[in-house]
Amino acid sequence: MLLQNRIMLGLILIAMMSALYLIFIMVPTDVNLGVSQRIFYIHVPLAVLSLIPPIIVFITSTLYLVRRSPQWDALAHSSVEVGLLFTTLALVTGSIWARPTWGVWWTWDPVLTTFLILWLVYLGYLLIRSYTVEPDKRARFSAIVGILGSINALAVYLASELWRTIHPDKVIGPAAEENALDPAIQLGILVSFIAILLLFAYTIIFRTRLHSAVNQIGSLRDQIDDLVYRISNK
Amino acid sequence: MHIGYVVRIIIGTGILIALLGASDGTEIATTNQSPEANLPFLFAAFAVAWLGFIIYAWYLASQHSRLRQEIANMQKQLTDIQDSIEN
Repeated sequence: MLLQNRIMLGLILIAMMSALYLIFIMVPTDVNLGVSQRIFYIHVPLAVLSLIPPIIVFITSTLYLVRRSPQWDALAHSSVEVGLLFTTLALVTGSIWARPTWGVWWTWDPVLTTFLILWLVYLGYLLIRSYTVEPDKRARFSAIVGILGSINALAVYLASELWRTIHPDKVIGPAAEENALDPAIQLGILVSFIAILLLFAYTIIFRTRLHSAVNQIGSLRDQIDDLVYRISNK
Repeated sequence: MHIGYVVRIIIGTGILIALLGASDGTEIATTNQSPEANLPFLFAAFAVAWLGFIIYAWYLASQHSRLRQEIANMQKQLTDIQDSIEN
């Protein structure tokens, strides 16, 4: 294993352990919501980080359409796959949290609905990739879907401002109110966010490396085919 | 497993969640139970998140080892062909 990999995995482990310590031992229990409020420490980072892949996809897909370089397509695909994982987990953890808090597993609230659309966009992107055989066409189609679909992330971000919603306001990020959270809760969410951010970055890097390995196989296959052709024509 | 099957399973789960939500109606109420009453929800949320990460990590690791094996095989095949040409 590369040294960089070991360092990255070590950092993720330390951050995860610190986050779990803070979540389950240090932060206070919410008076109104009880222990279920601790789902917040995993749901919020997952939901926030689900909005990063659309930005990456928008940039990399545009770059692919302009330059036609497969590395941009690989990065876009990796981001969507990791984005699908994060969006799925954010939806499921949100649904589990909604049951004791709102009394329902799901409600067609603007924030939740736009988020579900984002999830469907990721699925659509992956379906297009899986059903398009020709590599160039596959990359071109998915880049177009990626660019159009990533605009929906803006609707998710602005949903609470554009429509009436029962979903809580933003507590982290530029649009959050100042001092919206207790300092202990702030520390808990910050460490949890860093841990999940590291995991997110590592997963995208690792997934992109798999693309490089697939490209390497393609190149080796071309070399073998070329040699076999030369031998057969001798 | 082909990505198409995975996507179909995910879509099916999504529809099921949506139907569950629809069948629950729009009634929204905050529960006033003891804090510990919600412990299974906390456990379920963390279990699902960790399980999701573990399954995806396992999928990536298996793909990685399969590709490495394939690269090694092809490199050997390439070397063998090159040797046969030189000899």
